[in-house]
Amino acid sequence: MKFTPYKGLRVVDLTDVWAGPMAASFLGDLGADVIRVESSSRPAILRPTASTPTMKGFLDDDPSAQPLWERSIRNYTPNRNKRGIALDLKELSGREILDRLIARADVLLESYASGVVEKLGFGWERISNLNPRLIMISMSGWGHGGPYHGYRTMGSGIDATTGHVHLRGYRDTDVTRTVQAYQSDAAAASAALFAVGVSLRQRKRTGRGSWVDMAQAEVLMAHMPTPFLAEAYGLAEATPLENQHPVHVPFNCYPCQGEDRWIQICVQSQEQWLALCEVLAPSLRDDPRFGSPEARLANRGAVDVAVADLTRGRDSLELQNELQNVGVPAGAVYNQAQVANDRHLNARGFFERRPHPIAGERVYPGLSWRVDGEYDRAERSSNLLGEHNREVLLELGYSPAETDQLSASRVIGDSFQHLMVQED
Amino acid sequence: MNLAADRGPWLPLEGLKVLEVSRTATGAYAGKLFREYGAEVVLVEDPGIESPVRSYGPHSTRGAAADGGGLHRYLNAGKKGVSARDASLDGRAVISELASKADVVLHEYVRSEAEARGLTYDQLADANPAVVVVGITPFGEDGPYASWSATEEILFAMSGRMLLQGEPDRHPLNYAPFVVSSQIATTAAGAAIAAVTGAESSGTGCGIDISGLEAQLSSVDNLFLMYTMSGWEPPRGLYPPYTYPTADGAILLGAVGPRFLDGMARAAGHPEITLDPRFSNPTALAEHIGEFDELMLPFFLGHETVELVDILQNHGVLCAPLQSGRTALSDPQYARRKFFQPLDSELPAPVPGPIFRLESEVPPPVLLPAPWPGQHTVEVLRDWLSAEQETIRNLLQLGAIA
Repeated sequence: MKFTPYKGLRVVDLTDVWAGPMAASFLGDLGADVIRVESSSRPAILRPTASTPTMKGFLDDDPSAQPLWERSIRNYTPNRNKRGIALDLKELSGREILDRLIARADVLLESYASGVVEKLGFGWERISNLNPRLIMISMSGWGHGGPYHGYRTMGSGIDATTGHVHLRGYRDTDVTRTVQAYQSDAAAASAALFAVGVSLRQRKRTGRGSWVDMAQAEVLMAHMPTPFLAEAYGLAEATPLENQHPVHVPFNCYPCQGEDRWIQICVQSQEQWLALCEVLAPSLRDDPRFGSPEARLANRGAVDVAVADLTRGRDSLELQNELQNVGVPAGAVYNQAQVANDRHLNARGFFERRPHPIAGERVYPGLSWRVDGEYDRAERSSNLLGEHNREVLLELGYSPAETDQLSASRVIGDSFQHLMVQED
Repeated sequence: MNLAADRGPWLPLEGLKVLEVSRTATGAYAGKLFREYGAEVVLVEDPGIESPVRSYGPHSTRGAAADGGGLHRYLNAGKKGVSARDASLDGRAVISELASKADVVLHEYVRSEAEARGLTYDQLADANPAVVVVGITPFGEDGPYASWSATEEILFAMSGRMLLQGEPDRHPLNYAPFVVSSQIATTAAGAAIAAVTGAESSGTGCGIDISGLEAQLSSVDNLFLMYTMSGWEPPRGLYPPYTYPTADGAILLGAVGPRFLDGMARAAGHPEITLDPRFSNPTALAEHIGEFDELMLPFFLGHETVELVDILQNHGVLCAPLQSGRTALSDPQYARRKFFQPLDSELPAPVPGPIFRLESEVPPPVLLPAPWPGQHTVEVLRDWLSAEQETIRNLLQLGAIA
């Protein structure tokens, strides 16, 4: 990799699910040495040990192949560019390994509910004494302290409690009947990436590390200011816009030819409207209800019906190209096959192929940035459970004999097989 | 109001100069992140082009668009405003000169547009080798769609995420305004601050190309790998709501499955349901979810949301209040953490504050209101470029700056 501003930075990743693992991968993408610490006794949510015959989300759509915990697709994306060790933190000698890791680390990421790392013995007070230069990024759902201290949640709960779900439903459908939304994980992952940069600068000024007590809910609310601005300006409570814009028309999701094919068209000027008419039906221009931005706003429903009638017979990809070529912002509502085959993404060379001992060679999305005209390619795909136990323990000063002993006593591990036997 | 020197946790980016040449809320949000942690952020606007951030509103019912609107105030509080005309060669020269003095340049141009304005890293490197230039565009700085225009709704659609949102027999849904663009901007800011760290030790900056579409695909979810690794196209409406009415609102359960059945059963006083074959495995539960709901509904309706969430959480059940932004403003958790902060020093209405704090109970500084167009043009030209009074007067007369 070439763009490695965090080369030399040591990161301990204690997170699970999405927001935390993704944040740690970002740091690995930037050259940091990220050690993902998993539990060897309690499978992470990303590594299931049980399945049912109809369950989705496993390599090659096969929920029965073993080892199951290495075949969960959810484990793959947010775990690139890390090494992995698996410990039993219930054991004193397991906690000692984590202590040694933390003592030499620059950054510790954790995404548990508030109170969990404290109970494990890795609260800020103790570990900042262990390593005064440590930067700890906590990224729980609601943050530490306050009446929700200790509450646990997944991303869907964050999207619900921030007002996001309220704003992204259908206008005519009760909010309790809307399907779940998942934006908070991505928002928090990026926020943690920025927080590490800010904290490193703070450390440079003060010589000391710091504890970032980030609440994923707060990040998401900062990313969706409109309901709060409506209150600030004394307006009516914000309601869902669906796929529309407060003033621009036509601006919506329109049906296209074929099953479940759609296009999002976002006209924002008179010029774009005229270009849209040229492509769809020049006669639209002459309808007095649609003649100006103000008229279209007043007749939004009629505009949408007229546009939908014209898009319905069109191929979404062809229409996207045709509209964009005349300057009308439009994008087909892609399925995943369309993402994978998109000519622009492929021409840019965005996707990358990487090998993996279990998954084999697969196509992955590239990194989030391209620097000086070139993509860096991830050096590692998702780690196997405990893949780097030995390597990392030797770096931490354990002898080969001690490492073997820790392995024999299951303080470190690389398999959940023993758990599965118990369950049977 | 300046950032007070004793507020250490709020000054980590003090001394960083950020030039933001942005047109949309995406660039503006990236600049906002730098400003909130102490950087000096100069927002360059074109007096000849209507700013979509300013026109978005909401606008005060009293004085039309005089204050630039709520979104502008939210995104641009504390920034300095420079007005320079893009259509004028002298105006463009002023912008690239400012860029040659900046630590970070944030812009929204594709490569050909940036080149025409002298804003690529290669063009700036002679005068400013350590500069970090970040271009945030919908599709990236080059490639077949580089000249296309897009909104965040379009990027959401083309990322494959929109298709999953909503009900199977209705049109796909967008997310709430600005969540997609803000995530893209936050990623860009995170890459930029990392690059600054690198530039400070190596002396060499770089040009960072952020494609909004790619930034989403790279970091937001598993959909793409679900398809490439198992051939599965997840359907719209995959995750049911799992939401229930309460005495005064609604809650969302993190997951409804056997794992949480025990806690639910104990919380609701129905211990018998853990043994009920209709509910004890995921397949059966999905088939009998209606019966399950019927059984549980009196329990949910018998409690207010806050109390119900507390009971369920204490029984190990993942859940959250399902609430609107208005309700969130008075949620006791965010109130206790003092998350909502005054919009700016002139409008004390509470809006989301900084997204994290560095080990501090100290509230963030209240920033000055977002600038009016060109409010700091003269000041910034003097401070950054040491421009003489006469030069500035000439540029003003030429209409290059305003």
